[in-house]
Amino acid sequence: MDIAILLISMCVLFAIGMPIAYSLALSALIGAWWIGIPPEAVMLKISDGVSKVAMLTIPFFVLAGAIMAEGGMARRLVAMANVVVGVVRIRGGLSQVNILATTILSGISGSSVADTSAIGSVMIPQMAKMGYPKVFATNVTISASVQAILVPPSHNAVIYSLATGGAISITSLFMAGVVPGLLLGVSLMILCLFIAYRDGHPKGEPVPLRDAFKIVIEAGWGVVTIAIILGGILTGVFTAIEAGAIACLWAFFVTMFIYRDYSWRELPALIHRTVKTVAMVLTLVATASCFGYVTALMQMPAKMMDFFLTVSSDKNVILMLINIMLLVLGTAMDLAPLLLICTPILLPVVVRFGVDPVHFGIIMLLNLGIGLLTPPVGTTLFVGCAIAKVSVDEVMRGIWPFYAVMFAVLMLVTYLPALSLWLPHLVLR
Amino acid sequence: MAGTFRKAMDALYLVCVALAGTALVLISAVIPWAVYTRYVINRSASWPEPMAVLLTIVLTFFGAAACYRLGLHMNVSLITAKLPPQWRRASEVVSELLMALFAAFMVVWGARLVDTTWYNSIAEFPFLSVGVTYLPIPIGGAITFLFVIERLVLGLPRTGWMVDDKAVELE
Repeated sequence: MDIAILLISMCVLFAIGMPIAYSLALSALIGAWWIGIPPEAVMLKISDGVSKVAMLTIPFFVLAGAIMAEGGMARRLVAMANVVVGVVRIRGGLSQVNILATTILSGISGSSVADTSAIGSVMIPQMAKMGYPKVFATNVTISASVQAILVPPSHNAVIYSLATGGAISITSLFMAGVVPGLLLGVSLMILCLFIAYRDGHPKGEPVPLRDAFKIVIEAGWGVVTIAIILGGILTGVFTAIEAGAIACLWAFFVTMFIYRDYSWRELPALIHRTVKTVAMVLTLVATASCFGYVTALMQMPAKMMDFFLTVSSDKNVILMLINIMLLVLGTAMDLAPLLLICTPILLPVVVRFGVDPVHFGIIMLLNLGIGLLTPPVGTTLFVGCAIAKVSVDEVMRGIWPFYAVMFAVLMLVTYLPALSLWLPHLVLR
Repeated sequence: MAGTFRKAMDALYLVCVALAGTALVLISAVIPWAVYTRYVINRSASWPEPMAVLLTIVLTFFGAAACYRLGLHMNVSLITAKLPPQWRRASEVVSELLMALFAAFMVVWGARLVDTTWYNSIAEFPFLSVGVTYLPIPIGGAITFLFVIERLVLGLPRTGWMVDDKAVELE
C-alpha cells in the first residue's frame, strides 16, 4: 500500500505537468508522511543530495562541453575527421566523417544533445549539399550522438554514479563506457557503409597534405581535452572532479586564446545558459535522492526483487525484461530523471542476480540513450529534426536500420559483460 | 501594478542567476587551485573541496528558482498536451498551487534546519555557521513562492535576455 501511495502520487504529479524534480520531492514527502517519517528527514535528504563532492563533476563537464561545442570545436573536428576519412576515399565518406567527428566530440562534450546540435549544424547541411538525403544525414547524426552517453566524460555516467549514492566510482563508469561507445560508433559506420553502397552515396575527397596538417594541428588543441580527462584520471594525477575543472580551464584557454571564435562579451551569456542547465540537473539529483531514500525505507527494491522472481530466476531473462521496461520508459521520459528514479530500485535487484553494478550502469545508459531517439519524448531526435528542418515522421520512416544496429549493440553489451568490464579491470587494477 | 511586479521579479531573477553564476565561476576556480597547491607549491589545501560543495548549494537552490520562473525544469507534457485548453489551464493551476505548497515547505522546514544548525560550525571553516550554508534552501523556497505567484497571475515571461539565452543542451 505504501509503495502504491508513493508511485500513484508521483504519476499524478507527472501527469498534471508538474516539474519532475518537484514531483519527486512532493511524492517523497507524501510517502514519508504515510509511513511516519518526519519532514525534517526529507529536507535533510534534499540538502544532502547536493552536498556530495561527486556532484561537482556535473558543472565542470557541462561547462567544459559547452565552451568546446560552441567555441568552434565541432567545425574543426569535422574538418579533421574529413582528413582521416578522405585518405581512403570511401563511398559515403561524409557519413563516416559525421560519426568519427561525433566520436571525438563525445569525448569532450559528454552530451548527446550537445553533439547533435554542434555536429549536426555543420554536417547535415554539408551532407545535404553533397546529395545525401536529409533524413539519412539526420539519422546518422542523432544515432552517432548516443556515443556521448557512454564514453567519458558522459554527464549521465556521473548521474548514474550519484544515483547509486556514490557507491560506484565515476572513473570505473568512464572506463566501462569506452568499448561499448566505440562499438556503437563502428557498428554505425558499417551500417552507413552498407547503405552508401546500396544507395550510391558520393565518395569522400582527399584533403591536400598541406591543408591536412594545418587542420589536424588546429583540431589537436581541442583533442587535448580528452587527454586531460582520461590521462589525468588514469595516471592518478587528478580525481574525476579535478579533471573536469582542469578540462574547463583548458577549454576556456583554447576557445578564447587559440581559436578566438568566442568573444569575451559572450561569456556572461554562456555562464547564464550553463547555470540554467546545471541547476536543473542538480535539483533533480537532490530531489531524486530523497525519493530514493523513501523507496529504500519502503523496501521497494526487495519487493521488486520478489516480483521479478515470480517471473523468472534466470539472470538473462531478468536483464531482457529490464531492457524492455527501460526502452518503453525511455520513450516517455527524459534520460536523467529515469536514471535517478530507476537506479535505486533496479540496481539492488540485478546485483542479487549477480550483475556487476558498473556493467548495469552501461546497460542503463545505452538503453536510455536509445530512448533519446524515440518519440514522443526524444530530446536528441527533436534537436536533430529542428537542425535539419525535417519532420519527426520523415525521420522515423528512415530510422529503423539505426534502431536495429543500436538494439544489437545493446544486446551485446547486456550479454557480454566483458565489453564493459574489460577496460576498467585492465586499467584500474 | 502588474508591470511593477514583473519588473521586481525580473530583478529577483537577475539576483538569482548572478549568485548562481558567481558560485559556478568560483567552483571552477577553487578546484584547480587545489591541484595547483598540491603539485606546484607542494602544500595541499584542504579548503577548496568543502568550499566548492557549499557553493554548489548556492548554485542549486538559487539556480532552481530561476529555472522555475522560466519553466525550464523537465516535465512530462505527454498528457497535458492532449487535454482541451480549459483542462490544460486547470492542470497548470493545480501544478502551480502544488509548487507553492512545496516552496512553502522549503521555507518552513529549511528555516528550521537553519535554526537547528545555526550554532554548529564547519570543521574547515570554524568561523562559518552550518546554518548559514543551509540558508539558500529557505531563501530559494521564498523566491520560488514569489515566482509561482508571478506565473499564476501574469504567466511565464516570454521575452527578454533571460529567455533568449537558451540553456546549454543536455538530455
